[in-house]
Amino acid sequence: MRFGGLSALSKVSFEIREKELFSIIGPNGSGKSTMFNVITGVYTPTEGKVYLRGKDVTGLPPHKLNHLGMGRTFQNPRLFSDMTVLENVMVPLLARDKHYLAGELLSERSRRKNMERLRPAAMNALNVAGLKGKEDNPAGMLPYGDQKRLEIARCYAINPDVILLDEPAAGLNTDERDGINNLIRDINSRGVTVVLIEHDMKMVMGISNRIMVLNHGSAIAFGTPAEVSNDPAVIEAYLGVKEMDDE
Amino acid sequence: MKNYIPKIVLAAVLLGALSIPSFTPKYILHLVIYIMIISIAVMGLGILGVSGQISNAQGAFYGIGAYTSALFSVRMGVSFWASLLIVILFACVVGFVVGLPTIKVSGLYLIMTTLGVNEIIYLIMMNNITLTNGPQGVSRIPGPSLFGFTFKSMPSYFYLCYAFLLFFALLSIRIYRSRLGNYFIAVKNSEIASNMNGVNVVKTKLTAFMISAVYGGVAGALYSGYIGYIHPDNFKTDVSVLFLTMSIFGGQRSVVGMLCATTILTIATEYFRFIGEYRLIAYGLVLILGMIYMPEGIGGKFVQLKNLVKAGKQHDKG
Repeated sequence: MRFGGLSALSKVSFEIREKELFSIIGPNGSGKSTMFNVITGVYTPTEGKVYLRGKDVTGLPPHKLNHLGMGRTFQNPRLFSDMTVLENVMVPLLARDKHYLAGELLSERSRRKNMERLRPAAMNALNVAGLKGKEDNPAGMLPYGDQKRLEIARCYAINPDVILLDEPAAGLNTDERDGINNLIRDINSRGVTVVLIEHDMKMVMGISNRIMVLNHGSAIAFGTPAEVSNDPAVIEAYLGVKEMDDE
Repeated sequence: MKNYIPKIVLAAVLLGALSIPSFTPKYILHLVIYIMIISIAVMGLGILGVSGQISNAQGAFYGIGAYTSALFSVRMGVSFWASLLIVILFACVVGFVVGLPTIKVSGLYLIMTTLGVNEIIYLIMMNNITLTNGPQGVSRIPGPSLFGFTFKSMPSYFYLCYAFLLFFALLSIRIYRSRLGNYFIAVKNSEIASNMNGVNVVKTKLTAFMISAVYGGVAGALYSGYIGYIHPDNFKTDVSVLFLTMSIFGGQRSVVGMLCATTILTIATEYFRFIGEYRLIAYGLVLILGMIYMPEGIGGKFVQLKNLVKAGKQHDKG
């Protein structure tokens, strides 16, 4: 995937390799979420291109990208709160499984059959995310940690090629963070490419294959966790430069 | 055996309703027919509401249906059934156009936009005299007939409306249960999350608008065929507000709830006729109190009751 150009982000160009765990870090306002919005089609870049598996997908709307195998979670969980846990996970499965609406309008039996056909994939995603046994709970009543898990389950259900996780550990306690950490590793080990935005450096350094550091809309460093954490430009961006006239 | 009880009750009510024309006085029968007709328009708003949208233009779609059907049958001699097809097509087109701004606006702004739409359509009905007869209205609308039988008597029109109401109630229930219903709730809960999970949000919202317009249009066609004379004032914004009140008071997810609310508010309107325009204050009061004490409408109370019974049964078992 290549990308370059947009005023909030300029001349950032990078490639995410298949099945890797790629993190984007940077101070607040450095353009991480904008980057996600560009990749997922929420914003169309003014300049530059987005490629998915070598195919130009710039300007495609988010739902089409989802059909092509891209999933995404949000900083604050955005669940379908009036639905049950299972129904939440069913939505992306139903949305990509076309041409069945007419039958469902005509007969209840056809609707049940469709649901049964898609149910295993949904249950599998809930199992992976550790939400087994909660499938009939109302999604809006889940504790915060489970809401985060459900968001990940929802985007994992379609067996995506790549998922983009926007601060999955934000607002969680240490135990819950460890759980999410393991869940991300697990999903990655099942062959899903993961792109991660996260402020928890311990987590990022622990699970990423490669990291990109953004600052003021440009990429200031690339590399493995070890390379990035020793890069002077990164240290400068995070800690600031010591001003000369201090002395 | 117990599971059959609701079904038996439902069948009894549906069959029992068939006998209404045989024992009710004319005036009550008229009210019942009117309630059945506007219930269809109200159920259309329910579909829109489930998808997280709100419209103050259902009265205008009701009017479009009434005028389209009336003008085609009076001026061109088109049969009611053919005009109904035109109404459905036309409602789809207008619903689509009116729905377009909703891609960008929601909430209060959508209420204002649709209010404006209602006013525009009202002004067209009132002032485009060559097209609509303007303030003279359209009279001597022939009404529907089938295989040589004309639905002229009130009992016959009752059965016609009953069939339409049953069809559209069933359609609503199927829509709510189908994947389209799932998309509607998803879009209502979070547009961006729906979009990121493969739901075409624009298409879903427009679909809801078009379906709701068709409900309004068909109700309007039934109304004009029944009453025989229509006037632009029958389709002003106060009608839209009334429909919206009915759908919200009923609970937009519950077809039965909306039917109850339509019945209650129509009867209340008749009883409070003596206070004239002050009735509108009563609607406002009903809407406010309803939103405070039953945010899910009458339908929401049914669900609560059902859950209570279920919990009670589980308690008995435990």
